Formats: sequence, C-alpha cells, structure tokens
Amino acid sequence: MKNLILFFTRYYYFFLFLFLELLAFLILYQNNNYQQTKIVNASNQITGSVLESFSTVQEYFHLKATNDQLARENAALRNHMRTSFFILPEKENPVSDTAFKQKYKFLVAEVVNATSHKRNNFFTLNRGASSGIQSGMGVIAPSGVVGIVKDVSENFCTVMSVLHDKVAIPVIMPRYRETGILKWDGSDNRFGHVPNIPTHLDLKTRDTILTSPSSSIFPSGVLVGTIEEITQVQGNTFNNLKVRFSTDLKNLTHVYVVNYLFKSEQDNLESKSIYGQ
Amino acid sequence: MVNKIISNLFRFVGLTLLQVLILDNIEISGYINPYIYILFIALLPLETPDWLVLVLGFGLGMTIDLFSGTPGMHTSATLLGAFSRKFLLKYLEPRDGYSSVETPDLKNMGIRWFLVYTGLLFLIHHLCLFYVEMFRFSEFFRTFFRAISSLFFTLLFTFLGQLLINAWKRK
Repeated sequence: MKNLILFFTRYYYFFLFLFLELLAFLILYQNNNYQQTKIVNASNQITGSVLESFSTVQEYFHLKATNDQLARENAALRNHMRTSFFILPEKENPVSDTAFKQKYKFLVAEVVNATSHKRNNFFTLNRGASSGIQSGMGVIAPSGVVGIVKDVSENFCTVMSVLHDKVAIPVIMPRYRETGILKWDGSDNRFGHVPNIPTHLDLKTRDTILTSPSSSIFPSGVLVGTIEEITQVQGNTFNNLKVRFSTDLKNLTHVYVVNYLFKSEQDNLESKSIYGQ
Repeated sequence: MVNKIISNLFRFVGLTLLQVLILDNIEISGYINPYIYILFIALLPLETPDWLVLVLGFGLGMTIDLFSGTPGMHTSATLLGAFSRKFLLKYLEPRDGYSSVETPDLKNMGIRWFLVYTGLLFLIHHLCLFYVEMFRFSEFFRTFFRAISSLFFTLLFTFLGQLLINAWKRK
C-alpha cells in the first residue's frame, strides 16, 4: 500500500495529465453523439452574450451589404403582393382563402458568431427557445440554404452550417426531377458535392440545384447552388457534381429559421408506419 | 508574486478574447487559422508548479471550447501542450541553467531559443488539435498541411506580438 501511494505521488504529473486528458476526450465523445451536450455549448448564455455584444460592433461593417440585400428582397416580395397580380374573372377561378393553411413560418434571426474554415462549421443565432426555435429546424438565407439548428438555449441557438460533416441535404435537379444528396467534403467552403448522379442525364454547368420536396426540414425548391463541374467516376456510370453554394457562408448577417408547422404530424405518422404496428 | 499572478491573468483574458473575437474570424487562403492562445502556456513563469500548468491548460482549452462550440477539442490539445512543456524546458535547458530567468520569453531567452521552444510546443498542440478535429486519418496529408501552415502563422503572430510588447516596454 505504501509503495503504491509512493508510486502515485512520484508520477503524479503523468497521472494528473492522463486523468484530465481522459476527461477531455470524454467531453469530446459526448459531443459527437448528436444533440447530447447541453452544458458546454456556444449557445450558452454567458458566451452567447459576449459574442452578441461583439457582433453589434461588427454589424456596422456589413451595413451597406445588408441594406442592398434587404432592398433586393423587398423588391422580390413586392412581386408577390396582391397588387402586383392581375385579378382573373371570379367566375372561372373561384379563390377562397380558407383553401390555404399556413405550412411554413419564417422567423428572422441575426448571426452573432460564425465559422467557415473549420472541418465542422457552426453559426450562433440570437433566437432561442423563447422565440419558439426547436432543434432540427432548417435555416435559410435570402440567397439559399444555410444549415440546420443543433442546440437551443433560452435566447440563442447553434446551427450546423452546410459546411458540416453531419449535414446532408436532399436536393433535386429541377430539369430532370433527379434527386441526390449534397454534402461538404471539408476542403473549399465555396463548393459542395453531390455524388452518384446517373451519366445519361444531360446536365450542364450552371444548372441550378434546389432542395428536394422529400425534405421535411426545408421548404421544397429553395435554392442550394449551381453546378460548377461534372466529373465522371472512373469505371462507373455515375457522375459526381461539384456545386457552388448560392449563399456566401462567410458573410452572413441575417437568416431565416424555417418552422415547418406539420413536421411533428408528418414525423409521427411516418414513424408509426415504419416502426409501429 | 501577486504582480506575476495579475499579469498572467491579464494575458489569459487578453489572449482568449484575441483568439475568439478576432483570430477565429480571420481566414487566410481558405482554411488556415492561427491559434495563438497556446502562447499563454508557453509564457507561464518557470516556477509555476507542474500540476498548476496542467490545470491551467485544461481551463484555457475549456474556455476556448466554450466560445467556439467544440467541447473537448481545444481542451485535449492544450492539455497535451501543457504536459509537454515540462519536458521541452528540460530538453532545451541552457548549459548554465535558467539561473535568473523568470519567464521563458523572447527578451530573456533570445530569438533562437524562443523560436525552437515555441515552434516545438505549438507543433505538438497544432498537430493534436487538427487531428482531433478530423478524428480520422483518411485525409492524413491534407490535415498535416493545414496544421503546419497554421503553425507558421501562429509563430508569425507570436513573434510580432513579442517584438511589439518589448518595444512598448522599452519606451
């Protein structure tokens, strides 16, 4: 016993290191299980408020670009206004508002912290559970898809950007109704990749890629990007597409969180059919 | 003694804020990112007890992790850096010992010694950090290249900072 204590006190430096390092890896491992850590997170209240106050300073640098973006979006929304439409004779096309039920709600949020040069990238937004945000909601910008909400605290949430290992977005090539999965390979933050697209489709560079209707996270038809390069896999009948993201993920200031109002209904029904009896 | 604690505390806060508010937003040619906060571990006074270096390394890594939302990643790398500091100091000890030196910085130890010391310490930290971030060896050389190129910028910032502080003190 005495020798054992002597042994430990002699090499305490190494054992202390081993203990702390194991602790660090334990935290790391816990984080790798999706949506498990709630304690240590960038959506934390303290770090969140520090980052937010710094972000208010940074906002001034983006003022001009943000104004331009808002003006462009106002113009786009104006196109959807009632007054911009020609009203057809009622007899032929009876339109009743009760025929529509709201399916998506959009909530504007501000980016308070962002990374774009790590292997797995995150955004922190200044909206949280108090604004009705839940884990798993989609996030889009006026120019396209941004990411998926990961953790939520009272007033902040973290978003896994499309530049994240675990984010895969179901996409569609509108001309052929061909679907695929878009992922990021970790190299260049301007481009994503869609593997396994059959070679018989006559795809062209600069064709647009949209979100697929099969996604229950994003509304269908949100812009993802344009095809930059098509490469055929050696000895295979599939193409790999290199897609240029339509959103500049390095300079985002304002985004929209998508609340799909029927999500729980759809998910419940689907899981009942697949797993339940 | 109290003076030293206060100056190190300021360095801790200063380097942390510099890292999370400014350097984490800098992007040099795609994916190079300097991690200068590890300088705090390098510049701890020589008389700091061994266990305290480890605990401070853990705390520093944890703080950076809190801000960047990567629990455990910076902690494990910083801890490895803190652990290897003792052996680096022993290995690089000058022939006549550290006699009257209190802090192993650029001014006290000279440019060559400091370059080797920080170079080795930062290399250990950066390699650990980048490989833990990847968590697989499939992109071995690309990760290696990222670590080395980031190391270069970290060293550059370290030396610029040290020279600036020396010039400011001399005034």
